[in-house]
Amino acid sequence: MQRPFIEMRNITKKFGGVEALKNVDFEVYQNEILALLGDNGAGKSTLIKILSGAEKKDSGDILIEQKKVELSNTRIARNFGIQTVYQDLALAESISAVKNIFLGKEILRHILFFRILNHSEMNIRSRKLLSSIGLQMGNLNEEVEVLSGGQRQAIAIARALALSVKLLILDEPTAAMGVHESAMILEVIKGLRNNEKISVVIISHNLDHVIKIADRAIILKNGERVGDARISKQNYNKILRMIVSGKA
Amino acid sequence: MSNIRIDVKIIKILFRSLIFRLLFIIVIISAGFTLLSPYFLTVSNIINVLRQISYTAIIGIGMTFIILSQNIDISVGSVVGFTSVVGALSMKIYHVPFQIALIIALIAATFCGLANGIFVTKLKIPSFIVTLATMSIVRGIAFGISGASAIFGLPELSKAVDFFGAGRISIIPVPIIIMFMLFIIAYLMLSYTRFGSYAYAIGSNEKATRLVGIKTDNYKILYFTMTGFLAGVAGFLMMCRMGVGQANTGLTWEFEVISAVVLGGTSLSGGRGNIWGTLMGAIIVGITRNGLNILSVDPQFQQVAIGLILLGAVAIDIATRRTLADRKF
Repeated sequence: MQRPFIEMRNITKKFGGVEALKNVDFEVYQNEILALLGDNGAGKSTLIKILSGAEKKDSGDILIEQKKVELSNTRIARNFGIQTVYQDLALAESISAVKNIFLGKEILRHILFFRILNHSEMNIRSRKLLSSIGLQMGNLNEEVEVLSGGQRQAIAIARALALSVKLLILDEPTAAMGVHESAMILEVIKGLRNNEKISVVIISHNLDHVIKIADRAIILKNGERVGDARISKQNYNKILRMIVSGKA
Repeated sequence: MSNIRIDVKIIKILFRSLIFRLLFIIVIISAGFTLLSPYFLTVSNIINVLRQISYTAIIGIGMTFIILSQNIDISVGSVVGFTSVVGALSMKIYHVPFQIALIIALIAATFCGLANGIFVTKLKIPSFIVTLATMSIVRGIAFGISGASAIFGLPELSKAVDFFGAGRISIIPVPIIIMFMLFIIAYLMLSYTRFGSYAYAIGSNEKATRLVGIKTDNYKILYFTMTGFLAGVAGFLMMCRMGVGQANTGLTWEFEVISAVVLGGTSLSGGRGNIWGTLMGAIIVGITRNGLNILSVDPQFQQVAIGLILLGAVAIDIATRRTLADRKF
């Protein structure tokens, strides 16, 4: 039987008097698209922040490839190949797509005693990265501000892919997007699993989108795991029931 | 008819460029003053203007980094006065050689910038408030240590002071050469180094920049420190120019520096700007003052003119940017 690639066991997290997560188990397998579902306040964002190193757990274990790890900050999580694309995309609007993709991990070259930014190499790699997820863009040096929502999401995903990534976490990837752009992003996400062999965790309120691309879902309610299910049209109502009532 | 359309298209393309728009403003203002006075557009007057603006332009380099990163520093004028006094006192009272006085003065100025940076980042006090306070503190210290008197008769009023104050290389005054060298270095930093590149990123979205692991506080401290250093350079050059150390040197310079940076296209909301725009902004302020001086306009009205030009230029730039952005969608 396949072991999970990433496992979180008995994760607990409190914020003051509020128990955001109560002994939650969570697992992701290699090469799957996992949907993390639940109503507002279910604990999805908190769980993901713990996994990405943005928050510290109060108790519980995290295992990556069956080895216990401490993800005490985002840098450590990234070193383990865990990248997150937040709902607000966390893009710097007034700089270019290329600069956003390589922000914090710029490619440098040596001239005399100096290490300077290698703009041409970053341009070439950005184009390749965007192309690998199915996006062709004209001018990569335009400010991100003038791009469409779908293009920005693609840039945020490309930024995550610029480093070696094993697990990509996407928080509401199709929020506030139109039909055409949502379809584009869903295809991009499928491509990540199929072509890039990357595991993906998506948080989404849009069950229709989830049904289209996810392999499996884990459902949270009031900080607890209430169930999981393989994604299929047959399981749609069961998943909906778990989200709403917390029962299968 | 099609030739006219092509010309209009070329003009629109040219006007998309900030540098072209600023050059256009410089040409218009210069043309106006040239029509009003034959003394404006002469080689000696142009060199005179460049020399006059070199001090504020040098500080403008640092201010560009600071404003790009969504901060501000209104203490720069006070640091100029402080540096002027420290440099002069070192030579006059403590009889240190010129080179040592220069190092002492620059260290003092750099420390002022460092203090600003630490207060802003570690105490989380808005930069306007911090530098408003340090503006007063530093100027006060300058008056205190100088006894509110000008420090004349610098013993090293020698070749070194003369060189930096009144010296020329060929026909170009030394401060102008220093200014251009520093602008070239700043351009290279902004375009080709992480140090410069991150100023844009931090100003555009500091949270996003921090999320990717960049230590934004450290960079902001460096930008303030660099600005303090550059204010020190300007202050020391001014001391050499005047042959005197005076605590009120640099009074209201922060206004001219910020005007140059904003006129030059750097957005006060951070994330957008151009170092050559800052130079052009300084030139616009400089030629306006110079032209009005030649026309014997009252200095108070010169301030009004500078303020109006600043408002006008920024309004035009915002309108142009909005029009171009709308067309993209």
